[in-house]
Amino acid sequence: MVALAALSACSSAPSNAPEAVELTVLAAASLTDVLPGVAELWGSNGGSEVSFGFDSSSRLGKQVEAGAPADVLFTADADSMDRVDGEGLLLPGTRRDVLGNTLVLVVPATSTWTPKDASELAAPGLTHLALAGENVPAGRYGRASLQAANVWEALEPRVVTGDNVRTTLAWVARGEAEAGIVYATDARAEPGVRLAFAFPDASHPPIVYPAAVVRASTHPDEAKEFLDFCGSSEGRALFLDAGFTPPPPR
Amino acid sequence: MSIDPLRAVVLSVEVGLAATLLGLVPAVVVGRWLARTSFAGKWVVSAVVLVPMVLPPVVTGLLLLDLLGRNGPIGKPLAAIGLPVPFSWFGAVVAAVVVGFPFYVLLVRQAFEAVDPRYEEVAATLGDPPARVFWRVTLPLALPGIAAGAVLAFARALGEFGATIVLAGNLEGRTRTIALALYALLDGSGDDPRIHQLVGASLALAVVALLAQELLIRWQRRRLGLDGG
Repeated sequence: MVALAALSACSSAPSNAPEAVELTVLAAASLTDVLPGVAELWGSNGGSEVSFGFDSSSRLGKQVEAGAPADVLFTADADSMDRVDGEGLLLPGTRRDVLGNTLVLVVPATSTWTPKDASELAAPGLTHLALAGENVPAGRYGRASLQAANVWEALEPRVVTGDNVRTTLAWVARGEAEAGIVYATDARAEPGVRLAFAFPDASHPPIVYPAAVVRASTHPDEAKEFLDFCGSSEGRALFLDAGFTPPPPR
Repeated sequence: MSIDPLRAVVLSVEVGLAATLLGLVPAVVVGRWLARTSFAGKWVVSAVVLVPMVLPPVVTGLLLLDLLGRNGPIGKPLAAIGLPVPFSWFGAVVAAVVVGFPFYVLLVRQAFEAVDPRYEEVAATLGDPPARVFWRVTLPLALPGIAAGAVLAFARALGEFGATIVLAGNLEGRTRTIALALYALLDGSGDDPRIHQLVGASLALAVVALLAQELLIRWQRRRLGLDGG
């Protein structure tokens, strides 16, 4: 700990007090509800202050590429992380898969219809199926799952897309769409929707949340500590509580 | 990815023009009313009209979804007559009208306020009935300001994003205007040439809109100069 304090004193010129360290974590929007709690628990266990920037994974990647001052990048898909990694912008050896998630179908909480699997979605009663945009991970996974179930052709004209899973949830909660595809964690956060079924993991690319220390970080040691805490049993308990799963096997 | 930049540009112009035309009469009625009447609580009306200007557009979109959604108090009857608002071209127009309306009214109101009432009084003493005074005197004098409001409403419609994506979605060929197409493309990987095409088209449209406004104002000044003597 003394060595760490001395190290951070060297790297941060304006102040030599170790508690002045503030990490900047760029994280996927689907972590908005859970990550601040994890950081808080880390802080009460001697960790640093953490401030967050939440956005879609692809935009976060572009922010890092543009030189945004960040210490940690935490995305909701491997593609965005791979791109940043390929540019050599991550601190070697710090990348790890932290979490997984489940893709589910939700219906309005007031709906009397509860489909059991994707094959039931082609039913004529469904006029609008809400999905995240085709470039957002949740949107890509949703399309893949519907294709795997051979219902994409029938459903495509009825699909409505917004930007991310939050608009999807807003539409399903208001009954504007009779069903929507979101992550299990989002389904929990919105009381206006009810979970109908989970898509089989094999029906879409693995949902994985990788995280890494950004090479340009001014506090790489604290950043690594934070990631270690996220993967620790204490940190993981909070994520699992929020509906996340352990990362899928590689 | 099915994003056609040309379709997005055409759609933007369609939605912008439709929103400008649809908002014209209401903006003139409300703008003139606010300019020429005074009553207790006028500021309340004024504030209600201006609310979409200060609300985050996404919030406006959610409020519109509650009102105009298929289960909303206004949306239900509209859907019943075959005019569903959410996820439709019409929905994109409605979002653009509502978000652009404050700017429209603001400029139209200023235009009517700037009309010297003495011209109207003179016309009235010469025996013109009020309707004729409005059409022959007030409206022509206010026209440049109304045109400026229309151009601003059109410009706001072109840039509209938040309320549109919430109320009408980001649907190719239906509601995916330039702003929404760009947003979807920026979510994609790497450098897509369509991004530059759309940015270029946006700039071109902005220049055309501003030029149109300038020409309108000049033409109007010339005409007034000839008419008014």
